[in-house]
Amino acid sequence: MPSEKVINEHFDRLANDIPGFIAASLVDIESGMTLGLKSNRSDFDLTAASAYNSEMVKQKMKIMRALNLKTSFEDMIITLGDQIHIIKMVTPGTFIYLAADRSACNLAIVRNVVNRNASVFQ
Amino acid sequence: MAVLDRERDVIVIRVVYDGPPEAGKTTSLKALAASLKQPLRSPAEEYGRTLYFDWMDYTAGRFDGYQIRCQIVSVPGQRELTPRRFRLLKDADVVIYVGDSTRARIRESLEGLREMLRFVERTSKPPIGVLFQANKRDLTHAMPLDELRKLINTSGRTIGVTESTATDGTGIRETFVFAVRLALDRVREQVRTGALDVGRPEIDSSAALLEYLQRSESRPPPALGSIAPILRGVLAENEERVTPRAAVVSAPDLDDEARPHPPDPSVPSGSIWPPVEGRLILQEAVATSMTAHRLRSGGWTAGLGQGFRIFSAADAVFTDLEAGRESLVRTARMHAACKGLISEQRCIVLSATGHGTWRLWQIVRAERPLRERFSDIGRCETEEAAKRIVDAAALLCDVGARLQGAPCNLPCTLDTVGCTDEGAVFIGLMPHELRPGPKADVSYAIGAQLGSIIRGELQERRGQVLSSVARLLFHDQSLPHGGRLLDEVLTQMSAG
Repeated sequence: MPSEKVINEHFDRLANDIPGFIAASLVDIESGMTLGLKSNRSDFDLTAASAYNSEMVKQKMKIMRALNLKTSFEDMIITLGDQIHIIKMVTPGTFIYLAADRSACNLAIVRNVVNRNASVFQ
Repeated sequence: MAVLDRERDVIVIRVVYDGPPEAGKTTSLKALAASLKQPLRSPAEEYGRTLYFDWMDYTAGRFDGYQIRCQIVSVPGQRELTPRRFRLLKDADVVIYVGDSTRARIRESLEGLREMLRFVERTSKPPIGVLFQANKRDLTHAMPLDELRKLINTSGRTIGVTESTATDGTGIRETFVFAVRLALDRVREQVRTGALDVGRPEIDSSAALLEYLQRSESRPPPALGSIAPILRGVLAENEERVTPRAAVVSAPDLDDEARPHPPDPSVPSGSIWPPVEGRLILQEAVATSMTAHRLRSGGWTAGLGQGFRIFSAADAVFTDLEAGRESLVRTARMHAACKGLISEQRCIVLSATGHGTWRLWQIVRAERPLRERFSDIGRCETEEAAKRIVDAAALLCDVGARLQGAPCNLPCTLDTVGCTDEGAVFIGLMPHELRPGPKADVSYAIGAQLGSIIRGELQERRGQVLSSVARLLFHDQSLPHGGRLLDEVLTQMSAG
């Protein structure tokens, strides 16, 4: 696991590459803890969002097991009225959670940038 | 316990004579011994009462080409020796229940029969055969057989009924032959399902059975082996939590680590678990100013008497923040994996000590431990005392069984288990780091703790309490793990 400082530096870079970046965190799935984070908005409770999203990831994994799906879980894209949320699996135990302003960003670009940078968080 | 001993060309079966006190078990065996011309051994008697068992060996007949060797055993009928009785019943292939069929004592006989049936139904797979030997048929107040059959059949199970007068041997041999047939039916089923043990029987003589009973009843604590250091550490930390004032010291043999600042509610995100509720718990726990105190173990505590236990283990200190965070994540994962097993009102915090280091703190709301239920047990009626002990045993068995699934060793004791809004859960302190290893023997620990209460507060009524406890334990269908766990609990409670 990279140090918190390194994780935060990578998120700084990610924020520069994504127009409309709101916040991002690296999350430990099992405990729901943030291992590093970056937020451009003080009213966005990234800690709570990360913890609750870890529950969603756990449920998705449970569904895959229940359906006996023998494939990998790559990412989840959630489209809200004014935001895009991306959950990108980094390792079997961690994921990146990223929120961006829908009016300012392009989904394909956001996904591409996150995918390109995911390996540095391993 | 049926065993196929190919080396000696025999099938060994165990026929057990059970029944209430003075119903005629030993007299029946004496009559059978005279009829079969075999010696009867009784390891110990007191004023003509069986203390351990009566034993007879008898080899006759064939089954699938093998000779049939019967180990014929009677149990002690005295209430105080109930644990021993159940231990002997546990290995039966067939039970001959010798009941006093006179009107004055039939009720007692039927109660004992139901008690025995409940036990063997839980511990014997496949089911064992049971015969009711209605004894003392020569007495004028003996209940008519039809009436007796009706009463016995209310037990909900088909039980063969035979008549006997043990004093003159009438009906004894016939009952025994019937019982052996039932035992062989069970052996046939075991052969069909591949469940029949093969080899030499572990107990092959009255001396071996006596040694087994004596060893079981005075068994020393099991060797803890590699789990000992882990358990000792966790128990010591929890012990200090239970008696914190005595444990807080200015110990001269400890290193001179500077007093750390207690955990700070302003710790950054990512330094507290659970991420959301953790901060609320932390704010409540440190609402008033507090000072950390050193414990004998080298750990630190703060917040005694404020409804929360705030504890940091001796080795939970880090000179490097990253190392502290990694430890926090590992500990958080361990806590998350124990969800449902441990009390919910708890959090872990990585906080600066104020001296250039960081400490990992556990904050756990103080819940009422099971031990509080025994604070006035010495003043309780015997039945009430027994009920409390059995209730506690059931809760500990339940929690102990669930804790076996935890990723770390958590002690299941009267001080570390309590009833909260989530039900019975572990309320103690978690180990600082995950150190996997073999699990502790839960049944031994439970038995030892409850045994110490019986030997302490209830010493003067120990026999009565133990008898009531044994009766209630075997009636409690909620206790998991079946016979083995109950056997261990009884062994430890009756030891010493």
